[in-house]
Amino acid sequence: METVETRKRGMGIRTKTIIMFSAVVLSITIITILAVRRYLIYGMETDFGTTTEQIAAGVSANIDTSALKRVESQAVEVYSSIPEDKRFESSYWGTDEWYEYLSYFDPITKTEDYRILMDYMKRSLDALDVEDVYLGTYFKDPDTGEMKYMYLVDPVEGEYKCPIGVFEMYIELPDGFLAHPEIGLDTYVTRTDEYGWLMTATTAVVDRNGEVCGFIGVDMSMNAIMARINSFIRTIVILIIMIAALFGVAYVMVINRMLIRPINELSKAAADFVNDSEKQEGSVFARLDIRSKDEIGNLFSSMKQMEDDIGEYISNITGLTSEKEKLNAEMKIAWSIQSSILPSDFEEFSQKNHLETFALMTPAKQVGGDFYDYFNIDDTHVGLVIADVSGKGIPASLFMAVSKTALQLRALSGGDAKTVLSDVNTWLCDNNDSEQFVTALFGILDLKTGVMQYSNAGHEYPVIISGDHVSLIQGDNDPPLAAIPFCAFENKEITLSDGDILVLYTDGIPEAKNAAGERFGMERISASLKGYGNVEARARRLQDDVVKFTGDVDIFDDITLLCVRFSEKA
Amino acid sequence: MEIKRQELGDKEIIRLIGEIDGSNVDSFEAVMTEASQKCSELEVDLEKLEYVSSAGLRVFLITEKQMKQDGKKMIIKNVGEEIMDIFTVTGFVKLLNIER
Repeated sequence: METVETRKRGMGIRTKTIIMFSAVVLSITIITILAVRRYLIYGMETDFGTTTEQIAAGVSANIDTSALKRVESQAVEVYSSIPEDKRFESSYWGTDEWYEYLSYFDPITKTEDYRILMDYMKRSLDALDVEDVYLGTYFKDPDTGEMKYMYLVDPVEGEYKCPIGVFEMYIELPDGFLAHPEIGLDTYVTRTDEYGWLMTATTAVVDRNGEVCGFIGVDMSMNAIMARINSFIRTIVILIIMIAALFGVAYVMVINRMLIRPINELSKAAADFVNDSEKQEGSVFARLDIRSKDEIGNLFSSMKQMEDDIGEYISNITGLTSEKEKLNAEMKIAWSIQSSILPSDFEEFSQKNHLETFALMTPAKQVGGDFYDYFNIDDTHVGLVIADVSGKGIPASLFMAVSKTALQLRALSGGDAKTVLSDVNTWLCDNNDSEQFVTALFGILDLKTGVMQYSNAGHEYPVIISGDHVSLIQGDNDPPLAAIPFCAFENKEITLSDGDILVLYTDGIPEAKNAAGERFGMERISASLKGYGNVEARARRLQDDVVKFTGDVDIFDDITLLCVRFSEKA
Repeated sequence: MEIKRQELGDKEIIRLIGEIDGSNVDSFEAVMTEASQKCSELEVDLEKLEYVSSAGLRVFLITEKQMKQDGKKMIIKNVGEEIMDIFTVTGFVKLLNIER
C-alpha cells in the first residue's frame, strides 16, 4: 500500500489561533469595561463627594451648636442608663423591643433644644436637593467600649426616618480626628434595597472653641447617574455580544465550508461505497471534488487510497476464496475416490479366506500417497500390498491410484513376487514424468502353509507378532518402484505360524515426531502391538498411540496399516 | 536443516546438517538442482544429517538421475548409521554412489 503524503496541518493551527485570539480579545474587552466603569464611578464619587461635603459644611456653619451639644449629651446619657439587654441596634428595625428601646428617648424630643434643631434641619432639607441631611454623633459604648454612631435629629418624614436613639456599629474615627476635625471623613457610596445608590458625606460640627459637638450626614442619591453609567455599560456589552455573535456566525460559516461540507461529502461517499461497492468499483471517493490542503485533504487522500486498496483486496480475496473452496471441494471428491479404491470389505474377505484382516489409512493432507491392498489371486493365495508414494497431496494420490491399479492387475495375471514388482516398475518408469517413486512391499501369502513370498521395493520392514513376541523382519531391500528402470528385485520368504499376525505399515508410524523432536520408533510400535485384541483393536491402538504421541504437533505423513492374522484352519 | 556449500573448481561439496523432511525439502531441492547444473562433480557430505524423509530421498534420486544423464557424478559421503538405515530400508544403497 502506498503511503499517503501528509500535508500541512493547517486547520489545527487555524482553529488554535482563532480560539487564542478570541480569548485575548474577550479578556481585553472585559478588563476595559470594568476599568471604564470603575473610572466613571470614581469620577462621580469625586464630584459628588465634593458637593456633599460642601453641603454638609454649609449646614454645619449655621447650626445652634450649644443646643446640639445638650441634645447629644442627653442622648448618650439616656443610652447609658438603658440596661444593656434592652439596647437594640438598627438591625432590629420595626420590632417591638426596638420601639420599646426608642421610647426611652421620647423625653428628649419634647425639649426646646431638639425642636430648634429639628426646625433647622427641616428647613435645610427643603432648601437642598438631597435625599436626607441629618445630625448624629459618634460615641463610645460605656459598657463594651465599642465605637457607635447614633442618630439624633433626622428631618425626613416616612418609614425611613431614623428617630433619635437609632444606633449602629461604626468604623472607628481616624486617630486624632476629634482634635483636628478639619481632616474630614471619607465619603462613600452604598447600594441598599431601600435607597438605591446613595453617596454619604459626613462632616463634624465644630463650635466656636473648635470642639466637636456632633456630625452632619448628607445622603445624596446617585441613582440617576448610576443608571446612566449602567445603561452605557449595558450598551457596550450588548454591542460586544453582537460583535462576538457575528464573529461566531462567520467562524461557523468558515468551519462549515472548510470542515463540515467536505466531511458530509466524505461520509456520504463512505455510505455510497458500502452500498454501491459492487456496482461501481473504485470510483466513489475519486468522484469527490475536495481540494483542501489540510487535515480534510489528508483524510480524503487516505479514503481514496483505502478505496483503491479495498477494491484490490476484495477482488484478490474473492478470487482466493472461490479458488480455495473449489480446491477444498475437489480435494474431498479426490479423497472419496481414493478411499473408494482402497478395499474396506474386511469382514467378507476375512471370512472367505479364514484370514482375519484389517487396514486403515489416515492421510496427513486431505488426500494421501499411501495405500494398502489385499485381494485373492486364487482360492489359496492372497496378494498383500503396502506402499508409499513419495510426496503428498494430489500428485501423490494420482500416482498412488496408478500404482495400485498396475500392481493389482499385474499380480492377478500370475507370477512370483519379484516378477510382479519388476514388471510394475518398468511400467511405472515409462509413465513417470514427475519423478515420483513408490516404496512398496508386495507379498503372496499361501493360505494353506502360511508361507508368504514377498519382495520389498524400499519399504519399511514387515513386523510379525507371535504370541507376546514382536519381531521386525529385516532384509536387503531393493530400490523403490519407478526410481530406475530395469531394476532387479529379489524374492524373500516369511513363514507365519497359526495365530501369527503380520503387520505392514508405512513410515508415517515410526517417523511420527512429537514436540520434543523424538520419533515414534520401533520400540513404541512393538509396545503398542503387544497384548490382547484382534487385528482391528491392535491396529487402532497403534494409531491412537501415534496420535497421542505427536500431541499438538501436526502429523506430517500419512498413517497406513495392514494387518492379517494367519490361521491354519484354512 | 542447514546447507553448507563449498566450491572447489569444478567440484562442489554440499554439507547437510539436521533433518530433511516435507517442511524444508523445497529449499533442499533448489540447492541440489542448482549445484548439479553448475558443477561436474557433486560431493554430498551427510556426516551431520540426522534424518531424511521420502520427499528428501526423491531429491537425491532426481539429482542422481539428472547428473548421470549429463555424464556427471554425485558421491554421497560420511553417511551415519541412522541415515544408512534409511538408505538400506528404502533400497537407496543400490541407487546412489555411497562412499563409506
